[in-house]
Amino acid sequence: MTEQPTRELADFLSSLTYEALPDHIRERVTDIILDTVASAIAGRHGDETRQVEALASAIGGPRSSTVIAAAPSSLAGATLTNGYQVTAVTVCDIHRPTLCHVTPEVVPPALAIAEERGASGRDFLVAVAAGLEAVVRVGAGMNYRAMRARGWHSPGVIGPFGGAAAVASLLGLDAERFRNALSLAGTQSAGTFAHWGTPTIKFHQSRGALSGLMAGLLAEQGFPAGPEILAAETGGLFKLYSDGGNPAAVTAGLGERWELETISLRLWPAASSIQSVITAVLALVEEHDLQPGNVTGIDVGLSRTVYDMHGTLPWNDKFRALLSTPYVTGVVLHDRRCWLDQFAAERIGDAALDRFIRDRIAVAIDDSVEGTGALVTVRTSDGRALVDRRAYPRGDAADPLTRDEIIAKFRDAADGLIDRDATDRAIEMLVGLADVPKISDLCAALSRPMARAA
Amino acid sequence: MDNKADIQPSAELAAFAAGLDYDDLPASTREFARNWFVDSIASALASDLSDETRRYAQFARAAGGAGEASVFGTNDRLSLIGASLINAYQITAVTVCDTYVPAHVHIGPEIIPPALAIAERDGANGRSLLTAIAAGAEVAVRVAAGIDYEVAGPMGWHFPGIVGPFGAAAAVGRLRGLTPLQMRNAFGLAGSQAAGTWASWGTPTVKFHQSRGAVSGLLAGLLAEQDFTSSSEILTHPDGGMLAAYSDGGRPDAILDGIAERYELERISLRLWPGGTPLQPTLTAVFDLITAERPVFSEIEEVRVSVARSVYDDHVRFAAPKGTFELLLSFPFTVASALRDGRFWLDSIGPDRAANPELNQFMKERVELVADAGLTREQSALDVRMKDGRTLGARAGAAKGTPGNPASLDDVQDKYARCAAGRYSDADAGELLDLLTRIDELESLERVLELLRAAGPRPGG
Repeated sequence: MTEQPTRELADFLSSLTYEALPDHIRERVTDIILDTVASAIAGRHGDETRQVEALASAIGGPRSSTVIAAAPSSLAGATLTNGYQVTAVTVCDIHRPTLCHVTPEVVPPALAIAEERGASGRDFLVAVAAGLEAVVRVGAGMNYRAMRARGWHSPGVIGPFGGAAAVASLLGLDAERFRNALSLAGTQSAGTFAHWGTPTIKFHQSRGALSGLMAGLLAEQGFPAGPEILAAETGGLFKLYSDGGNPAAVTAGLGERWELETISLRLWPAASSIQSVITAVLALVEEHDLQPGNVTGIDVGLSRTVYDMHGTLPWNDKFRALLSTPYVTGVVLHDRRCWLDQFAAERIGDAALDRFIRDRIAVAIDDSVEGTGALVTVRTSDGRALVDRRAYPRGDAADPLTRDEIIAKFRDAADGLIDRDATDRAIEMLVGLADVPKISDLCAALSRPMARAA
Repeated sequence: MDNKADIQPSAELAAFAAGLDYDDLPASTREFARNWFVDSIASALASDLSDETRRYAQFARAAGGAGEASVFGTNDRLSLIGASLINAYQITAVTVCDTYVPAHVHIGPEIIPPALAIAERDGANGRSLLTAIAAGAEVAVRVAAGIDYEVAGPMGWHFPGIVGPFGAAAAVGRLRGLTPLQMRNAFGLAGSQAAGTWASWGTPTVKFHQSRGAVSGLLAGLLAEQDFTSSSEILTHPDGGMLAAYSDGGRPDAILDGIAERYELERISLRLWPGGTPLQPTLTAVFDLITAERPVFSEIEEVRVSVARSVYDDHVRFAAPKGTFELLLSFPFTVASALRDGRFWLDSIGPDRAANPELNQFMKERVELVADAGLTREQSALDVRMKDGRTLGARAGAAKGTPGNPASLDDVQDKYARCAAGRYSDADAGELLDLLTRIDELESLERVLELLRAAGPRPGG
């Protein structure tokens, strides 16, 4: 074995400092964290969030860790619950090259350890940067196409590396223990597409977060692990979960190029692959002041991959409505926005909307559409055909959200769940994260006392 | 492979586990399950002899936190997750726990600790516990048979973290009274956490797979209880099912073959001596010879140890072993040590043992390892020539503790005595053993748990 990407990645990440992060990366990581917390607040509206919370409660332990916009739980329980909440209503980040949600695995274990160990905002920011970079770089080494062909779903496979790296960074592990943490993460890599269409697909993020937490804490004890979990000939992830991958990609340009910049954010709940559809529909609605009564039909063209995942699912509950192209197209046309009320049970159950979708919206494979792009054609009663083609959606790494947009998302999410003062305080601390003395102060603004959450 | 994917065993396996009652278990299965349970607890009681156990306990406390579940050998109670982590590690810590040989997988570490934690929390009786862990063991070995270690092992998968979560989910789910549908979801959630590879071979992380497998099953069972849904066919789904993702499509027929009639769990092997699996037939022959002939060590002229060709090839290089890891793989050392001491236990492999002059000389001058094409990996023969010219021999057709030569309750009790030695008063050691051997008669597990917590430090340990 000549390549040692795990060692090189651990060497780099274990010595990462705030000073080493370029300004724009600090800002970018700040945005990502702000967005992650907003998504976690919105996740209180996920139908299955209560089930994960019940699990967190059942596993026991002292309730000393903050669950975002909810009552505290144990360290492991908070990590599981926050991990689920970030991804629960499908509004969190997406790393498109690996179809991986990165933040649910990285931020919750980092938050839990930062709170417990009294870390500063700056430590937390560096840890999250290390975690995000670890996931995206391990993903780059995986060769996603081959990995996907074998059935693997990225968040539970490469996600644990991010949680482990973030925790290891906060714990100040030396290079060798840091490498053990990464190895202990990889030895927990799991989760496949067999669960597509069920909430277990999101449990991969939640469990990935816990796996990273455990990896970091076990490595802290000096527990030894395999020296090269990624590129080992026998049992290395690149061979076992992929086709040998591309080990050199893990470390290419390390510290010069920040791969975490390729992470996309989302303004709208709904599957990452149909964000382009929403972008296109909203653009057409705005430009032409479309009214549903004047729309005789909508054709949505998708790539084959996206069509297979999001073209044909029923939309009879919130979980699937968030993944359904026909439903999302119809509801956005009618409501001229896309937030959680568009996925409330009453809205999904609206007979007129349902009829409109079934009668007038057609989703099909369009060979001219690549990846997660979209081609939307709206036909109007006065005979026009209005077309909007998108190669990528708002929030994509190529068209990042502004901080104001993320703050607006945060306020929408917090409305009714966190009082306005605490919301203002939380936003202020998150925007100025590098100057927050203790993460526990941030946690205090985000937590809800026991009594109110019951 | 297409027709393989048409088989949908998950629901039926789940229905079996959810519906298994104590009365369904044949007497031989109950007896085996009791012996296996005693053996697993005994193995845990030896865990203080491993350097990493203490570090692992600190980790379990940090990750799981204080709670209600008993931890073997301490009065600190941890959360369900914390207790499952450390108790599972203890069972496997010194590698004397069970092995289901066809899949190179340890079963007890993943299944027993989370089941025990739930049983303690819920005040379950011993009969429910034994039924649940039997269900768990049966599910784990059947999932292992389906994935097919012959294919998946050489790919690099280490099975305790892969099939263990299924077994633990089944045991936890049975104790929680999951419906068949909830149980199927529990299996899906177990599969969504299946992990662990041979990249960690030679480090204690291979044992972390057992411990983490236990927690995975615990989480799967408890989340499924909340009606959380997962894949309807985690085993044979063509896109990411266990048999496809972790193997080449595996052997789906094997999962349900003879289920509820033939209890595959009875083919789990118990390990009466430390040392690698391939050395166990030779140790069996050595102790059969000692029992029958009582040879005096100093009167032995020469020992010929015959093993299968493949075993010979893997082990001949450990003729002059250095360190504990190599001692456990060295035939000359193991045979010399057992013949000299009349026993072979964890203290037989201490760090100074490789340098012992008497053993060293005997190993070098009097023990010969030979390959015998007529022997399988499960067999070994011993030919001893005494200085007075007598020849003695013993032949093991199967290692003691394996399905071909099962361990008796006496054997397991002897092992328990070695593991518990020094950790209890004679009275407490005897009481715990008595309770463990009739676990399915106990209405309350409280005294068992109290005694498990009370295991003390070993003098001079």
